[in-house]
Amino acid sequence: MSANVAAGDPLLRVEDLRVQFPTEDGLVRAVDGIGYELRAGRTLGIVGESGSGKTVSALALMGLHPKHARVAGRIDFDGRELLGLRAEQMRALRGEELAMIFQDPLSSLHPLHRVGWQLVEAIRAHRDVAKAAARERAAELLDLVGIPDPRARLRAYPHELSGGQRQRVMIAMALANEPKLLIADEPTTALDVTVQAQILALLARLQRELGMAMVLVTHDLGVVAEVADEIAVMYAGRIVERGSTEQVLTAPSHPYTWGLLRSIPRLENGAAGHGPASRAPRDSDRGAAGELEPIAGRPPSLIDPPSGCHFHPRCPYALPEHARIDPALAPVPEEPAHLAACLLEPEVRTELWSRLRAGESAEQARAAVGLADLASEPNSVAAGLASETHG
Amino acid sequence: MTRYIVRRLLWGVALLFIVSALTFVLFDLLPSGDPAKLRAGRTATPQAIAHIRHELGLDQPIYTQFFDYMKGVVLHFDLGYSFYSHASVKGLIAERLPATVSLAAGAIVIWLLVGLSVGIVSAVRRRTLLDRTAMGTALVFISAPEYWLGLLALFLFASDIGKLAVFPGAGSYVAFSSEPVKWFTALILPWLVLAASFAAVYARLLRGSLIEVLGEDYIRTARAKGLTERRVVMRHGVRGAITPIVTVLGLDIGTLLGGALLIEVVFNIPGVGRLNYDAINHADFPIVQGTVLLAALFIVVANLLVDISYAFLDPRVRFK
Amino acid sequence: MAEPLLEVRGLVKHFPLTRGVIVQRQFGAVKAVDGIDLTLMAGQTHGLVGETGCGKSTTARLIMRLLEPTGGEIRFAGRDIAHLGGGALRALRRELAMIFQDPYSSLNPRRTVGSIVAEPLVIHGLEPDRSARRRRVQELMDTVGLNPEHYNRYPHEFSGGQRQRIGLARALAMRPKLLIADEPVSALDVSIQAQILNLLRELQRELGLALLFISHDLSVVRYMCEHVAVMNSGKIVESAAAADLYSAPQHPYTRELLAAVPRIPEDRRTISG
Repeated sequence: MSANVAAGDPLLRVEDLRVQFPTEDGLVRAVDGIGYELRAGRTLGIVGESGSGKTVSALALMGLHPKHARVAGRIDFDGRELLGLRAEQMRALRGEELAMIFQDPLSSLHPLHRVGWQLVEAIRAHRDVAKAAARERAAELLDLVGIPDPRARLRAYPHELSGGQRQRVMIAMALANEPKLLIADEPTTALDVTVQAQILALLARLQRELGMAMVLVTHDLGVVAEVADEIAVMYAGRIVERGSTEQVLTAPSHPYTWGLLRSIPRLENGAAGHGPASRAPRDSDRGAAGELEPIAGRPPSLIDPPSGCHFHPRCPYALPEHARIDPALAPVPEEPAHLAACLLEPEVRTELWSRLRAGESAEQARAAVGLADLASEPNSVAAGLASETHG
Repeated sequence: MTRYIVRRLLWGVALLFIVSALTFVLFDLLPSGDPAKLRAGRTATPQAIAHIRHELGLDQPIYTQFFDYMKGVVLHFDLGYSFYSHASVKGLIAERLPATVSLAAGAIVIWLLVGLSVGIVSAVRRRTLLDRTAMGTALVFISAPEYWLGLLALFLFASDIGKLAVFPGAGSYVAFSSEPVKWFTALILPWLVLAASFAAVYARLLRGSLIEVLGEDYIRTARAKGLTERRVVMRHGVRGAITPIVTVLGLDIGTLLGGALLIEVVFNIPGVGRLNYDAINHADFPIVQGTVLLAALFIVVANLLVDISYAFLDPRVRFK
Repeated sequence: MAEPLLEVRGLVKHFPLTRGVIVQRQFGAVKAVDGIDLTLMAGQTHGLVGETGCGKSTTARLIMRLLEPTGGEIRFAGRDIAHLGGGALRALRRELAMIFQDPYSSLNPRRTVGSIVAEPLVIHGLEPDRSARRRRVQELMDTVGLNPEHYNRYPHEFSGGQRQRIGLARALAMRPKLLIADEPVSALDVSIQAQILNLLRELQRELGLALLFISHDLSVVRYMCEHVAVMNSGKIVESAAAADLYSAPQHPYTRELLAAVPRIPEDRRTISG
C-alpha cells in the first residue's frame, strides 16, 4: 500500500521536527526544529556530538522514541505523513519500508536467539512465507552481506560471531524486506578501523544495488566524508549547517563546523592540517604541525539553552547581539543547497574560514576580520568561555 | 558439560556426607543426656533403652556409629529406625512424600501462572494504578507469615470453622489414589496459601527483571523490525528476563520437596514437613536425621539441575 | 646515549586454558602478548596502536605491573620490575601512573573528587598534613583545568571530559616519571577529545613526563607521539618514528590500517582575497 511519489520528489522530507522530554528538571528539547530532504538512492549524514539530538531524531523517524517523548512536526515518507499514523500502521512500515541499524551489534542482537531465528523473524513479520522459505532467504541475506558459509552461520548465536560479522547480520536483518530507507545510527563506531572500512563499503554497495536511501548518524566526520552525499551538522537539537559533503567539509560556513574540523587530528601532515603555516612538519617534531584547536566549553543544556544563538557562548567570533537573536538557516551566497544558521555575514564567514585554513588561530582571524574585541565587552562572551573551561 | 556434571555430582555427594555428619554430631553433642534414651524416645522402658543402646551400637565410638549409619544409607537406603513410631524411617518418609509432592506441585503451578502473569503485566504497565496495586498486594503477601495466612484462610473459608463454608477444613486430606475429588478440594486452600507468598515474590522478581530487559538495545531492534508489541514482550523480553526466575524456581522446588512445614501443620496434611515437625516435638531424632538428609538431597539436586539448565537458557554460559 | 627509562624485552603474557574434572590441567594458552620489545626514553612520547584484541591493553597492564608477565623482562629506570612484589611494587607505583579509557567506571562513585585525587598521596604517606594535602590536590585540579572549588563534589556531577581530567590529576599526584594512557579519549566527544589531548601534551612537555599512549585511533596517535609501534595478535609488527611510519609504512598490516582510515577532504581551492 505504498503511495507513489512522483519521480523527482524526495523520498523523505522532514519539516520542523521537534522532540521534547518532560523531566523533573524541566522540558528537554532534544530536537528543536530540524528539517531536511532526502531522495531515493542518496545518503544524508547527520553529524553531531552527544547531546546534539541526532540519535533522538533518527529514532523519531522510525517511531522508536520513548513513550513519554512529545514529537511534533512533519515527517513525509514516500508520500505518507508518519507522525499522524496509528501505532499499528507505523509498525507495518518498520522493518518493511523503513529499517534501522544500531551502534553496538552485540547488545542490539538478542543474545539468546540464534542468528537464523532472528533473521527469519524479521522476514516473517511482514511477509507470509513458510519457515523453510524464510530460512532460505535468510541464508541468501547472509551471503549478500558477505558472511562466509551462510547456512552454517544461521545456527550461530550473536556472541559467537566477530564484531564485524555481527554488524553484517544487523544489516542483513534490516535489509530483509528491501526497505526504501535505511537509518544507520553510528553503525561503525564500535568496530575496528579495518572492519569499519569493510562495513562502509558494504553499505555503499548495497545501497547502489537496492536503490535505497540512507540516513547515517555519526559523530565521525571521516565516516560521513566517505559515505554521505549530503551532510547536516547538528548542535543543541538543531541543524546549524547543511549542504553537500564537499561544501560542508571543504567550505564550511558555520563556526561550529569549523571548530569540529579543527579539533580532529588528521593522518596527513600531522595535526589538524590547519595549523600555523609557518610551522612545517619536521621529522624530529612529534606528530603535530600545529595544535588542535578544541572548541572551548561544554555542550549546552537542552532544558535551558543559551539565549539567542545557541552556540554563542562557545563561539570565538560571537558578537554581543548574538546573545539576543536566534539565527535561522539561510543559504550561502551562490550555493543555494548549502545552508548555515549564523548571524555573521556570509562574506565575513568566507574570509574567516580562509584565514583559519591558512593557519591563523581563532583570535587572529577574528581580529583580522575586524570583529569587535571580545575582552572589552562587559559580561562578554569571553568571560563565559573562561568559566566554561574551568567549570 | 559432562565433566561439569560429574564434578558437581561428586561435590553433591560430598556435601550430603557433610550434612549427615553434622546432624549426627549435633545430636551427639546435644546436652540432653543419654543418647540411647534420646533415640528410644520419651516413653521407653529401661530394658528397651539398654536394648537400644546395644542395638544401635551406642557404646561404640561416634565415628563407628556414623560409619555404620552411612553404610546403611548408601548400601541399603536404610535411614534408621524410629523407636517412637515403631517404623522404619524410610517407610515413614515414603508414606508421607506423596502428600508433600501434591502440595508442592499444585502450589507451583498456581504461583507460576499467577506470579508470572502479574509480573509481566506490571512490567509492561509500569507505574500505572494496576502496577502499583499489584505490587502493593504482593508486598502484603510477602510480609504476611504463611501460617497466619493459613489460619486466616481457614477462618474465612473452611467448611467446618470458617465464616464462608467454601472449602474443606484442615485435616481433610486424602490420598489421590483413594478419592481424587476430595484430594483436590482439600488441597485448594493449602495451595492458594502456599502459592500466595511465592507468587508475590515471583511477580516482583519478573517485573524487575523484565523492566530491565525491556530497556536493552535488542528490544529496540525487535521493535525496529516491526514486530508486534506482544511478540516483543514475550519472545524477546520475557525470554531474556526468565533466567533468574528459573534459578529461583529450581531452588524453591528443592526446598519445598523437603516439606512445607508450616502449611502442612496448619492444614494438617500428612506430609514430610508434618512428619518432621512431629518428630522434633517428640525428640524422635532418627526421623529428623532422615528428613534433613532428604531435604539436603533435594536441594543439592535442584541446584545442579538449575545450573545445568543455564546452559540451555543462556548460550553464552560455558561450563568448565 | 642516555639510558632508556623503560625497556621491554621479549615480553610475554599467556593466559592458560585448562580442562579437567577434579584437577585442572592446562592444555593450551591464549597468547595475549607474544614477545614484544619496547624502548622509551625519559620525556619521550611513544604510541602503541592496534585493533581490538591485539594485546595493547594487556601490554599496558603488564608494564604497570597490574599483571605479572609470563616471560620476558621489563626494565624501568634500570631495574627489572617484571617480578616485583610487595613493598618494592608499591614503591614502583609512585613512578608509574596510568589513566584509563572509561571515565565513568574508573572513578569510585562513592568518593569525593578530592579524596580520589588525594588517595595516592595518602597511600604512599606523602603530605601527612591534611591541609597541605588539600592544597596539593587543589593545585593538581587547577593544573588539569578543573575548578579547585569542586573539591567536595562527586564524580557523577562531572562530565566525561572532566572525569578524565580527574583521573589525570590522580595520576599526576605522585609526580610519576612515566604516564601510561590507555585509550584516554576514545569515550569522549570530538571537541572534548581535543581539549584532553592538548592538556596531555601540555602537561607532558611541562612536567617532562614519558608518555606511553595506547589507542586504536591512528590519527590521535600521530598527533600525540614521536614514536609509534603497531601491534597485531600479540606482536609488534612495526615500530618507527611517527613521521616515518605514517609517511612510509613498511609492514603490510600497517599499510592496511592506514588505508582503512577514512579521510576528510581538504579544501583544495585557492585562497582568494
